[in-house]
Amino acid sequence: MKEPLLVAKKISKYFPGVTALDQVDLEVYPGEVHVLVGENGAGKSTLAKCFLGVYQPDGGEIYLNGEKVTFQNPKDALKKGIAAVYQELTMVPYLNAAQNIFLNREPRIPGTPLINQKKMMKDAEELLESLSNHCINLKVPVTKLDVAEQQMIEIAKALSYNPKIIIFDEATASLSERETQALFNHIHELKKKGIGIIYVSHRMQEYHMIADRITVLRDGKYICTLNEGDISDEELVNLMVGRDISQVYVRTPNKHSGEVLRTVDLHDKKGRVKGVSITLNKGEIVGIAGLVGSGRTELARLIFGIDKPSSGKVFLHGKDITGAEPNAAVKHGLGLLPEDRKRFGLALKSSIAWNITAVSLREVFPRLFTSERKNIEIADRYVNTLNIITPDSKRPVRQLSGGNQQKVVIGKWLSAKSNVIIFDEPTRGIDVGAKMEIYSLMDDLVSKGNAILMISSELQEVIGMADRVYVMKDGEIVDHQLRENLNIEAIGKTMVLGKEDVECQNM
Amino acid sequence: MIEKLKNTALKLMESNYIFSILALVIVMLVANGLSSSFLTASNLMTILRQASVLLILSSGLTAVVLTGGIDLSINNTAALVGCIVATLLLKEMNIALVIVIGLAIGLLVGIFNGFLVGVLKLAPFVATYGTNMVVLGLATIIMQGAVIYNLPRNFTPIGIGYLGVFPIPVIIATVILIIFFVLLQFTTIGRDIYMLGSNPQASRYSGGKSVKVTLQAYALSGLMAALGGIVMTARLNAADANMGNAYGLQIVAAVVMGGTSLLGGEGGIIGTVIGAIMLTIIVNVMNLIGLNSYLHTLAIGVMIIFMVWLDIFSRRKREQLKSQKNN
Amino acid sequence: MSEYVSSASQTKKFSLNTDILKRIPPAVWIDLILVLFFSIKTKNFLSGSNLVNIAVQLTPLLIVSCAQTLVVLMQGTDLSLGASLNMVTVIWILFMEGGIGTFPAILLAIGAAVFAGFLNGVIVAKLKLPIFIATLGMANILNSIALTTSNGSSVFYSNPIYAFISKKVILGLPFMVWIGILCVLLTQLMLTRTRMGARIRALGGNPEALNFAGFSVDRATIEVFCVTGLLAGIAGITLASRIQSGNPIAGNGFEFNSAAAVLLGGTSMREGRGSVIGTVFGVILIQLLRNGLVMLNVSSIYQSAIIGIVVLLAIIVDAFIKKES
Repeated sequence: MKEPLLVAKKISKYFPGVTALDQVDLEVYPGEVHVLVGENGAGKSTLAKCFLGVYQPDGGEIYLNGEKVTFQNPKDALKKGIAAVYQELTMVPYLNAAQNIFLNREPRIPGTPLINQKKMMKDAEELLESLSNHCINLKVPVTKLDVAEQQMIEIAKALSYNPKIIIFDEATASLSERETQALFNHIHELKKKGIGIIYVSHRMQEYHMIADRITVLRDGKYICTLNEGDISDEELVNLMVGRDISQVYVRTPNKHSGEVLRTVDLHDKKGRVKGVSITLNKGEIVGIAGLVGSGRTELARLIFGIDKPSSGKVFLHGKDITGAEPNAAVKHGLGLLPEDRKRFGLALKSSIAWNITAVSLREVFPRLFTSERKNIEIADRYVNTLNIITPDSKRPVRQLSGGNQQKVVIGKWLSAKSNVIIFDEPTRGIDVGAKMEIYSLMDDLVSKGNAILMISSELQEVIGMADRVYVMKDGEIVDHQLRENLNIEAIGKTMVLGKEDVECQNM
Repeated sequence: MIEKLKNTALKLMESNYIFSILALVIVMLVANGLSSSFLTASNLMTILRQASVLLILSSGLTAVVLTGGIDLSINNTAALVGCIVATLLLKEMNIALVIVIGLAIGLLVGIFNGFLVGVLKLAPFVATYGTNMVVLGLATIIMQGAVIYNLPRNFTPIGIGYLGVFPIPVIIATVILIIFFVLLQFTTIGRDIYMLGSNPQASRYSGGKSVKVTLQAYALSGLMAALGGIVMTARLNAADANMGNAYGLQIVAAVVMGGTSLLGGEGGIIGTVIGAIMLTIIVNVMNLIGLNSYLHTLAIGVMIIFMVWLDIFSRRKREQLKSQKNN
Repeated sequence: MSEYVSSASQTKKFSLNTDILKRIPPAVWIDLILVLFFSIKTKNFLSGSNLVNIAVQLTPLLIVSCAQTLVVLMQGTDLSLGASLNMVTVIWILFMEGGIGTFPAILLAIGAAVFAGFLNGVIVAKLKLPIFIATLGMANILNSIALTTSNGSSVFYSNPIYAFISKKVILGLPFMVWIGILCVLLTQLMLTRTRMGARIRALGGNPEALNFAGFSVDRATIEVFCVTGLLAGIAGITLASRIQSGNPIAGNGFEFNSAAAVLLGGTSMREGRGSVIGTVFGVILIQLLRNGLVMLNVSSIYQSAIIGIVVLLAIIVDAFIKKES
């Protein structure tokens, strides 16, 4: 039995008012892919950052190859043999692959400040070849390469530091199926080199394909470590969520009548959405499942009007709003809770009250003049109904927690009297308690006759909440299931492999 | 009404304007130390009169900066309009008509800027810096290097006349400032401006019409540039192509030193008033101590850098404190 | 070293070729048109002496534009370059007038420009001010110094060094043109072939990458601004040599014209990509415009206005085109 490369004992990390990690254990063996599993906010990234020198643990010990170590900062961690590959690409767009890999470490022609281009290219070639046979054009700016190749360069960059451990932190968040597969191939090569891999992801679909062992975290606590395949997906979800799913996603049955939204063969200009046709009826929650990169957010933007389609149509309450600007769609009752709520959903410096009336401003104040008092009155109504936790609604929104901020965005659309709302990743970055509130809000909304289009990469959430689910992959709708037939494993496989492949597998 | 005043007072104390008010108090104390007749009513009125052109010019800029942009073309637009107005007055055109034409030109420049920034998405400082040079060139062409003096007697009161004890430019500035205050704080247009500056992307995702708001802000700026140019010409009783030079940096300084953030979404017209008055006093003080006029711009340059730094620094500190409190 | 291109990337290679055509900066097309136009309109346009004349006139702007290229690559614009020129011309003359030898005076003057650049860098990096405000403030400070020390008008000091720099012909070109060419080549070499150049590109493309690579973003920023200061200083010396005096307003407008040259030369502020070579075409464009106006007997009063308008138009058209694509 080999010795573990990395041993972490009773790691704890505290932030003001929050215990991010509470005595977590972890062991990683050479050549192992050890997946860290848990919901948003479970502590997976925090633990990874403790190994990367981004955070210093407040308690516990870390051993590397049997020796106790501390990581003062990221540079220190790199030197000691821990590298990372992240979700965001950390590359300079207009430099080529070799320049990116060796940024600030470029080999020089001795005695001059000039870079030795030949050696740099050769070294880069070697690194990339060791990962895969696929040849990458080393002379073009990396922005001209496709995402899979860019990710490969990121891995090569990590590899160039001769690490003992490589941590993949949500690295597949923006990848398509093909690109994810390529990534997994590279990880296999890394395993052969005896490198220990810590893989952080909340995507259950991927665990089956890549994990050797799985460690479950929940609310900062260590739950257990299992071998891949030891338990079923449902049991795993229960461990992650900590309670019976049926408690979390409560849906009241109601009538689904009357079509409110329809897209017909929608295409976008960049080829991320290819011929999408969906419908949404009054009183329904329709889910759109798929890996990020499958085109779901792009679809939302097409429907809402941020991007213009190259072909296809969008009908809202029977009206053709194809290619119309957002404010036209909004006037007819459409709303959008964006994926990145801080960037696109809220004016962080402005108060809660003004954020809530941001869309309905001219309905609330039809005659040019505004009144702070009236605005607060109206906002407070929503603060109460939505249970937004704040001493008063004059505070700037940035002071609120994630869950409360999301409620403000919802309040904004409620105030605008939207009846068709697109929820894009509605519970991202929100703690479990607030999540349940949002689920019950959604249920309440559709019971009152509104309609919700829910985009989510959290399978449990989609299956728990939706009346119908469309599965998107590489820009197309590949499957459509009703609530009765929803099954985590099947949907998960379809998201990654597509429909025919799943059927072939089953044959 | 009292509610509104109380709210305003509370908002002031919410620290947006704290630094500017403190700075103003310090500046006034220094000035008083240098010349004991400083804090008299008549001297203060003189200061207000001197500050009036600057106040008018920076009011429009306040709106633009609140949207997160910047307008570097105000001073030369003012000069251009002043030159055109003077030229037309010499030709004995009707005063009212001349003023309207002048304002229209300013409005056009503003709309042009708004088009460059809002529709073509050019960086605001590139676009308005370019406009500034072009406008200066136009003024130079019109004036052919000459200076116009001795404007008609029924025009100059705009700049040097009195209504009772109040100088007319001060009245004009006050009216403008009140209009802007109401516009920015109590109307939907003002709300749109603050929202756009606070987060332009979120504005779009809320169905906001950012192009319209941008155009409105820059149009206002151009209009105020024109008005300021007219009052400036009346005060000087002269016009030449380069008369905007003195104001170039002061306009930005007034807005910035008043606590309006260059990043947009925070600040307001009250700050600009404080900043403009503070700046005028500082210029007076510099003259009083015999500082070389060329060094004025140096001092102002240093002050701008200091105040912008203070603004950015204090905002970051406040955010850190507040997020710590939250967690 | 062989070129590694897989079959997947093969198609990319073709689209890259047409890409290059699309990427030829607007300045190149406009330059061709202008050269054609002028060579038809005026007899001696393509003559050696005229071309040399143009080269001498554009050298200061060329060197300043090299500096501006670096700042634009960092997604900013240096508004203090013109003021730096003003300061350098004035204090060089004044230093010599004050008894300091020619070459020490050159070093001091350039040193002052480097220091100004250093201050720019510190204000941007440490005080976190936006580049345009920092350099705007600095511009006023430098202009103030120039105006105060010169008392508002040109200063003179007779010195054979001016004639040497601006007129002495070596291998067919005056010395200062060689200085300009050297600056361009060294800047391009620095950008493409040194670690510092890679850092500058990182600053503009993705400063995070620099952090990950372990180099302080602040230090990189200050570095760049020191280089711009150096280039501004050299440009100031060449400018002073050509006008044989120190002039506190001679540099006005250089910051705008150099930014225009850089933008029209294809360097993109939004993407942080581009090269000094494109900037050269941009500078040629502006100089040709100016020369052309002189040849058409357009009075100097109109020149600045027209150039400003044309440049603004070019930037607008460029923005239009980018918007369509």
